[in-house]
Amino acid sequence: MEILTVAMAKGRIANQAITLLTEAGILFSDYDHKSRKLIFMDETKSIKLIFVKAVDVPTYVEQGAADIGVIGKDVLLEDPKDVYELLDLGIGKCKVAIAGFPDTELGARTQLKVASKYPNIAKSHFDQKGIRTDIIKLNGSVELAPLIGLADCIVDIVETGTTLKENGLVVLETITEVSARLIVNKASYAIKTERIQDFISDVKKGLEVYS
Amino acid sequence: MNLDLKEVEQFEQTVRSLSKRFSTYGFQRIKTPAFERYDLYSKVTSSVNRKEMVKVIDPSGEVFVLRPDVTIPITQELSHAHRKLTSEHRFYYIQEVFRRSSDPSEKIERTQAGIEYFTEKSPEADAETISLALQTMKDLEFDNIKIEIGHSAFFDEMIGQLPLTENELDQLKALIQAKNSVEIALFLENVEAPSDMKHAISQIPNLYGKPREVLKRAEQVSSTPRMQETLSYIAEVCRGLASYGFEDDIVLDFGLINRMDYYSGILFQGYVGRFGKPVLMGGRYDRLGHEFGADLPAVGFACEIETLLKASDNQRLFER
Repeated sequence: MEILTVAMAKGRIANQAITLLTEAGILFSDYDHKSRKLIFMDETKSIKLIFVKAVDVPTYVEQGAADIGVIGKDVLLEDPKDVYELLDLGIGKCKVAIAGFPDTELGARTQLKVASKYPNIAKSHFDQKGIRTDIIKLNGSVELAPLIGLADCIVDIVETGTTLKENGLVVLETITEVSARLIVNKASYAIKTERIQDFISDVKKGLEVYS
Repeated sequence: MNLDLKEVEQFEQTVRSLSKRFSTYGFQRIKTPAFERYDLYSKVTSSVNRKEMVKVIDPSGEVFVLRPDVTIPITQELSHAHRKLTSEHRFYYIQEVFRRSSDPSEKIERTQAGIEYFTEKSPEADAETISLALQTMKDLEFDNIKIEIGHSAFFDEMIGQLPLTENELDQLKALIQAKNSVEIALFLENVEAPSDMKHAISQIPNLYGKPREVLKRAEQVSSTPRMQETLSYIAEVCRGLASYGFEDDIVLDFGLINRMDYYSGILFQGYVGRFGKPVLMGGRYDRLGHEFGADLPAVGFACEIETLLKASDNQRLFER
């Protein structure tokens, strides 16, 4: 049988997604989240799981290096790609939010300094609200930015809010709720239509059991 | 400049293969000027993104563009000679087009090959054009060739009845192009429309796959005479393709909607295995002639030689 390649990022979403696939009857018996291997085959040797960096998942899928990808909606919103977004997996739920010190007034300044891993989401949100911004792109520890005066507020994903709390920050506004999506390469969908549709209906069944 | 002689030879081979196939179908090669008047492209509504055009100013201050497309000048040229189509015309071209993509890794100059088949609208002509597209890709020895076929009228009819702003319409189109059923449903919750129409729109992502099955499912959501008419037209095109022996090489996709506003009927795009993007695109553009005051129904497609070479490179790469 033709092999389907599925791309994911290591981490919590991948662990949940693999549990979900197990429910769907797709077994990766040699998978272990501690393993450093980057490629796993399922038991029937027809599905290949590859692990890549989260922000690269949509790129692998758009380019056709992977047929299918599992990726957070936040990544898709930040950098939209020409792929099909066929399922909401309902895992990895969190929100993209504006956070800062409790007394921050977003509209008070002529120009708001915003630090974020998501400069595009941040910019388009503030543009819609008519707030002028100076966006600073950071790649991690975004919470630090308001603390040392680099930015007035941040735009980041918030799950439990613990990191914010420990740094004296609060959610000022929720931009959008996000969760993991199943994305598919357009050419793969045309060429391996039945394989992919079968895979998706398996995953849907898994979703019913899982949720 | 390309000094890799092997690459140059592959390029030439591809050009020869396309020319040969196009000529056997009775198409004649034509050329259009490299410099076109800017007015020509600013006049025709949203055919080519203005930002993508490469502009040149001559000493008298007149603005020209480096040919961004071939279909429009051909149609204009033909409109000078004919107000109405009295007999069919079959043209093909292989020449450079110039577009500045927002993606900096894309080259500005690319070689486009395509056909323009000026003929009255008919399922037979459309089927013949799509079969030529398939045959062209088969000549290039690609594995796993598929052509997706859609039709603009089906979707236009559905959304024609929705009270949407242009912005909302773009949003809905993007969701449909992504087959994002979940968000389509959420989007429609806030739209005032008859529930059967909403149901029909939410079903579009499922209208994908083998022609026979998709047509059956489409039948169930089709509610107007125009939609019915469109479905029987598509069924006719598929029968035509089956008679050429291409039944297994096509899929229907009702979520395939206009990228270029001048398409007005059947739309299609070709994919090959191990290459993520379409290698060929085409459709019917009966209204384009109207822009030049002529009635010149036509169907055609185009592909880029560079893309074809990249795709066949990819196939070789993965075979190892």
